[in-house]
Amino acid sequence: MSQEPIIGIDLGTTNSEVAYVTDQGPEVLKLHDEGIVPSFVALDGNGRVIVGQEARNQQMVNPRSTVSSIKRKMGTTEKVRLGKEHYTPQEISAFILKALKKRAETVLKQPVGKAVITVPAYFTDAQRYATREAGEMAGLEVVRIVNEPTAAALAYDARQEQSQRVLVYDLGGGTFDVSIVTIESGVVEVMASTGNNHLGGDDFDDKIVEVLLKHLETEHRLKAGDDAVLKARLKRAAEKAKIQLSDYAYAMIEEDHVGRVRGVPVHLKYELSRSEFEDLVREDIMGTMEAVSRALRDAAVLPGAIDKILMVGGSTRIPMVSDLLEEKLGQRPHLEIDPDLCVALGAGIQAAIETGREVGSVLVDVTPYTFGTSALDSTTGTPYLYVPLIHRNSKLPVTKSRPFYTVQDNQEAVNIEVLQGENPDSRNNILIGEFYFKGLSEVPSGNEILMTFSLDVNGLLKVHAVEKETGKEIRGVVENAMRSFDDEKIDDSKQRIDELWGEEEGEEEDEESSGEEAEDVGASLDETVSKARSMMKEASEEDQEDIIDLIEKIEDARKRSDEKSVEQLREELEDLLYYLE
Amino acid sequence: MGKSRIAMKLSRLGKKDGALEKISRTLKAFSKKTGAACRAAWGWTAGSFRKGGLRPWSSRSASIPFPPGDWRYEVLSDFAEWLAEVESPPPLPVEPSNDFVEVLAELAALRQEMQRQNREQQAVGEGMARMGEAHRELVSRLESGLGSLEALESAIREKTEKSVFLHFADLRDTLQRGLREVERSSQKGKFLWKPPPGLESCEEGYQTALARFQGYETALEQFRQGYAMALERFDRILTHMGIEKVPVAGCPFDPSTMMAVGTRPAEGGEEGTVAEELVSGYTRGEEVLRSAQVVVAVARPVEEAAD
Repeated sequence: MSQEPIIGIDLGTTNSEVAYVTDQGPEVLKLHDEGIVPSFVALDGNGRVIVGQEARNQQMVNPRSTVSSIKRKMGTTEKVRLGKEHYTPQEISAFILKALKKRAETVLKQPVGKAVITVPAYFTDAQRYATREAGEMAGLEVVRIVNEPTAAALAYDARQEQSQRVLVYDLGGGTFDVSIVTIESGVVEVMASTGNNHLGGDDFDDKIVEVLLKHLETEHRLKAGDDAVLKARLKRAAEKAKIQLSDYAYAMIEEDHVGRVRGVPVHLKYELSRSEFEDLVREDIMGTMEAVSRALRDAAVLPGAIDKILMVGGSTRIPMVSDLLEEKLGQRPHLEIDPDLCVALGAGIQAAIETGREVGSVLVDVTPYTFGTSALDSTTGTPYLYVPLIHRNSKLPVTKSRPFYTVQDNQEAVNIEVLQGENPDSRNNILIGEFYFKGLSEVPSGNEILMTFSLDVNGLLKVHAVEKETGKEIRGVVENAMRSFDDEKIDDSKQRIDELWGEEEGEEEDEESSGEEAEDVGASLDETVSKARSMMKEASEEDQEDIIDLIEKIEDARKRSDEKSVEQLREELEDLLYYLE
Repeated sequence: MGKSRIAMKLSRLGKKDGALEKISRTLKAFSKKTGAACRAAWGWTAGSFRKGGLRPWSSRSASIPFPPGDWRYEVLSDFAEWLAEVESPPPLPVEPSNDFVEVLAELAALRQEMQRQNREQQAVGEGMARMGEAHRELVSRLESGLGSLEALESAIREKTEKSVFLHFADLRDTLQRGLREVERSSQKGKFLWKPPPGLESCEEGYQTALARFQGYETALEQFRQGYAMALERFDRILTHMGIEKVPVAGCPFDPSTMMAVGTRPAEGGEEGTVAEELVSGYTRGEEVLRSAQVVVAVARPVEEAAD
């Protein structure tokens, strides 16, 4: 690594990261942590500047000496107070960049003086200039300012040979952006960008906290009032539950000793379902969907003209977001690269490109197929509704669960079909496993069965079904779930079609295949000839003559389009070369 | 060069060695006699072989420029077969002939075979050398791979340990809260109203209340001890795992290992120290596994953030 390294930086509103392309590929640089540095700057009791988690940790104690979300002020002349002094937004950002630079130098064990920094697509020239300035103040030469959606697209597709129109949906901790960009031979044009500067995962946590506080008041007569400490505890529990609901249908929130009512300790136990959580955040998420429509309008693009949807920001893990986008745009968004790190990784890739290094995209293990089960559609009554549990391109290993309900009163058993495929009609997908769940309770219809699919990198698909009320469960395993059952099915269909078409189809196929072969011969002939030419120098005089003779004959035969002779001569030449090797 | 090709060459070489030696000896003797004339004629003969599509070293010989039944046809096809099939050393296909041109033709073919053999041997030798190199490279790669595998294994172990541990850390907090509640429930230090002398009617009730109170305190003390024991056991396991609990009780607030989630007016002179621990924090070496979440004692309630 003799070349001076260039690092890639995602300078975010809530969090920042620094990435670098190592021999193992693009990586976010970690220093005894997960690589996520809160964008907080503070002065500690001794007047020393602290950045990141440490600064965030003391915000409650020292709010006057703590600055957060400075990105919102970039490009303005407004100064912020830090202790007794006032600083420009560039200066505050420079503290964050300096911390990231130091982190990179510690991890890479060499000085770092150059960086690529990302900014939102909607940033004005003044804001971009301010970002560049901040970099210089931190001792970093900013070799390039890259748009965040561009960086995300780079992480997914570093080469980008084809022209594509990409929609980047970025829902982070506190901000939301949607951008439509066109990427053509490395040049990126931002066609539209819109969003909400004050919406994100924190708002969703607060909504769960409200529900919990209300529950404590109605169930236990515990009034939290202004108990900031209790609220902090509940917020932590809420965030945990929210994360769990991305994969599971229910999250149990259990907090002991949350307070006392008439001297008696009160404990909180609340089961939050995914559907309840979705009701809580629906309004906000629908608002983001409107922004998506607005962006499409601004870019004058129809939903069908979007080639790819990329997800950025931790809150995009909420399944409802993907589902609504799929409904709206007719394709499943990509979420396989960690949405918290995606932009930083893209910045790292751009940095490597700046040094002229050959880089690939971020590699992750994903499932190439969707796995789901078959159910009765309660709205239309069709018994063949395909309900996907694990979507195609999900990062592995993955676990997803969903509730299902019995149709009849006293229904004793359910048939669980494990299907591979994308078709909304379950009959058109491939049955890769089938389980019977017998001995269900004698209860009216609507008995809830929670189904969980877990898929690992080796293609082992574990199926778990549990009767929610009683806890009765069954477990099943499908091995080699990621095998291409499709091909087998296609072969079957092909055979059927061939039979129907009779010989005609067969002939056509023959022609096709001979055409392919001819191409192959052409390619290998050129290879053989050029190989012969290069080996001639080393060969004896006699062999040289033979080689020249053969090459001439081959060229003659080629001119005459005498394929048979060409092939024969090529074999001769190959035989000769074979022994010269 | 692929492994299979080298292997193929080796087997072919082994099977033909005997025959070749024989040919080589014949050839040497013959060439001494025929000299230059022989060499000149060879070029022509070899050329004519190829023109006719007959490749002396190949099993794919197609046409022979003599009609079947002709003795030359027999000779040439036998010879081609001998070259192609290498299962057993075949007899020399050369029939005694008076025709010098024919002898030369056969001889040329033999020489061609010799040349081929030499090339093969050379190729095999080079192949072996390359295999040796490849083997050495493989071993060194394997060694360095094993090293990084060990590093990977320990990284995975540490990560798994961390995620499992953090679940248990939550349990410790539950135990801690239980202990605190038990301590708060204790009525020790409170007064029990004792009836004044003369109110004998109340004396019995007083004795019952006193006994009940003492029994209650004893039970609470047992609960307290139970919680304390569980916590001590937990902390012993921590030491065993190389994990340290972030010390908080009475300690100054340290933002590198603690997160302030609230403030409380300091009672006395302990401003800037931890007033209460809500979530315990842990470190392993330089890594902060989890920050402690604490309430910090401050001189006066902190105002809202300026911005």
